[in-house]
Amino acid sequence: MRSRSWLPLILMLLGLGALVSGVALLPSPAAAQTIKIGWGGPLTGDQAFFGKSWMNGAQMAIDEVNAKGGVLGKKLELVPLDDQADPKQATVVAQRHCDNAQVLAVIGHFNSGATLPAEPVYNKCRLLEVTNSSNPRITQLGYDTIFRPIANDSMQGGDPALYAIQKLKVKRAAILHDKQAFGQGVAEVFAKTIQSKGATITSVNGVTHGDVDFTAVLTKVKAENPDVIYFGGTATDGGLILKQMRQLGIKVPYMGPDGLFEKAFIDVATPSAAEGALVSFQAPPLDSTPALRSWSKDYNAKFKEEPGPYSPYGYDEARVVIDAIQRAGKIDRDAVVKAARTTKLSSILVKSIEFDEKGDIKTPAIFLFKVKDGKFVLEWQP
Amino acid sequence: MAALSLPGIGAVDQIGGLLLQQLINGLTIGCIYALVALGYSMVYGVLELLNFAHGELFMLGAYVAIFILGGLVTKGPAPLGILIVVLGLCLVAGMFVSSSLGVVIEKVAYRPLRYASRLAPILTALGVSIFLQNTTMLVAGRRPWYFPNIFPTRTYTFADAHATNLQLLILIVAAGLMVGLHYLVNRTNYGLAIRAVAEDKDVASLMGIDLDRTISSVFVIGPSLGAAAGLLFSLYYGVAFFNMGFLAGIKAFTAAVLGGIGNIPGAMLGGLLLGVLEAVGAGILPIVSHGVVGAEYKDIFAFVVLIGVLVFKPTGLMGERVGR
Repeated sequence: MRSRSWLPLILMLLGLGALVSGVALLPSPAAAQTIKIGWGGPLTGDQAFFGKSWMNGAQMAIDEVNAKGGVLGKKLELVPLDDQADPKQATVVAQRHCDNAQVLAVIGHFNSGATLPAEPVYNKCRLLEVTNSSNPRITQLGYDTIFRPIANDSMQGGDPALYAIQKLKVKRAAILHDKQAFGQGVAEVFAKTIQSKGATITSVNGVTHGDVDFTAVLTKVKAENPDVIYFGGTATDGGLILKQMRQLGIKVPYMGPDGLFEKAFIDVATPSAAEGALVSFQAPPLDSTPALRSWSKDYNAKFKEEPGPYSPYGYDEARVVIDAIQRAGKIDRDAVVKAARTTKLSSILVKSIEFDEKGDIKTPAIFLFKVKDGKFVLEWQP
Repeated sequence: MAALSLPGIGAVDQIGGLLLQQLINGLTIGCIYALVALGYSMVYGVLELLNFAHGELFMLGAYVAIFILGGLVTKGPAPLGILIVVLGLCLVAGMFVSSSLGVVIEKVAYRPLRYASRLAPILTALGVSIFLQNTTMLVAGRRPWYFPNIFPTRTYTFADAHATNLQLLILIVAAGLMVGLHYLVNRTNYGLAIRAVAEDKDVASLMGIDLDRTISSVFVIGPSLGAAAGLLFSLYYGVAFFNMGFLAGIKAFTAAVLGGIGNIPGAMLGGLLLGVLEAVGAGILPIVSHGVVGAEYKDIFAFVVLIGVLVFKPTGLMGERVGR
């Protein structure tokens, strides 16, 4: 009892100390020479490739503005912090951005699992957060600081279901998912939509994320005789499922969300088994319009590599932030959030960037790709 | 070829077709479990030590194979003859790397503790396992490595069940290795020495058997089989990842316990049984439970078996010890 009673006191003292030093060390924001834009996403771990190439897109937008003299007479600077795609780490990153008084807005986070716990932290310190995460719940929690210029999973699961009904004439669908927030969520939307259009769901099956042998569940699914198999999840699991499906002689079409939009998916499945697989994604092919073509050329020249799948969204999201700071007209977090609400920007990806009252983009886009000779080729656009 | 399928109605027919398919799938993975289990069992038989680093030697076999293939084969399918030579080369290289490492591990981590309490070498084994796993993660990265797509897959269909040429290859290679091991242990002087050491270290050494050399030879044979299993595993599923040795190791350990740890034919039987049990169980579970419990629970079979055997028949199906 005695030792325990010390704990609250120590914690209180620590808290008090942090508060005092925090206030004392707070630099006067207006005096800073640059405007800092926070960034949170995975820079290490198995999602590092997505995070880095997404960040490069944002860096590109910032460099372009700086080349023209910056915003409000100041240069912009990106402050990247690694969240390792880990929800716990994401809250730490969020708090660090909040505590850095020079950070005026944040681009982040990349994963839905990371954005969900970080959101309330940003909201509390009134930081504008422009996210790339697609879980529908993100904009439904009532925070006014979050904006999402990318399609959410309601569309990502729904539109491919419409394609399955209209183009594939599907009557019976089997659903698999990896039991994660993203995979299960998007699979449920697909199932609900396809069911509402008159198709039957033969079964919904959870699989273990990271498993390698899915033959048991696939053998069972095969016996149900579906016309299509939808998998909600990520590239390695999805590729193995597709490969084992074909080995078991299941010949029906295979569909999945943007988690599979990665070369690794085709590598794991092997190009011959992957042929014909349908994968939805939020961006059109980078060579589909002149604007995107010249943009990718600039990206390539700057970073000496092909743009990643989300690089153009990183670019757009940084532009939303810069535009909001510009229109806010002053170094004030709250004013930037208010300005973001009336965003009206052109885009290389979608018709225009405007937000509804929840912070979701008004005209989202989803594209359905088909694997052809080991590459993703645009198949359909709703 | 549907003519062979059993006459029946509804679910019975469904389960019938499923059983055959899952039997094929189960035997394939069972062969891999058996090869890994042999390594566990032999080391236990000789040293009464659970070599928990064995799963990592299995993992390294897969990585070495992919590393070599990545250098040799850049483009798609090659002529079958070349493929077999290349694959054989990978097999030998993987076995060499894993067995060298096995010998080093024994020298560094187990030999100094040979006469210490039995808990000490188990702890160093776990330490070595964690060390190898994390080193691989740092060197090879967290992302899985993909087995180059060099084998044109051919599927054979009979009675509504499918078997691929890969599965056949795994069965043949595994069977070959097991027959080879059987010959080595029962028909050669090396084998005689191993069996003698397993039965009684002191007497064997009094009879002029070099203890250190014999134990080292066990650490050559076990990891070699593990590395071969690793190659077959990554060839079959198409991936290798840094922590793949953990689950495979635990499953193989279960297989070894099931057959009777220390017992060579027991490890083979245990591996095959576990593979089939897991595959058939995972296939039937969702049907008999009407979808309440799905196939994602397949891993529990191994652990239920492990607990069951340890509680009811700790010596396993075929009894303990290499020597007997």
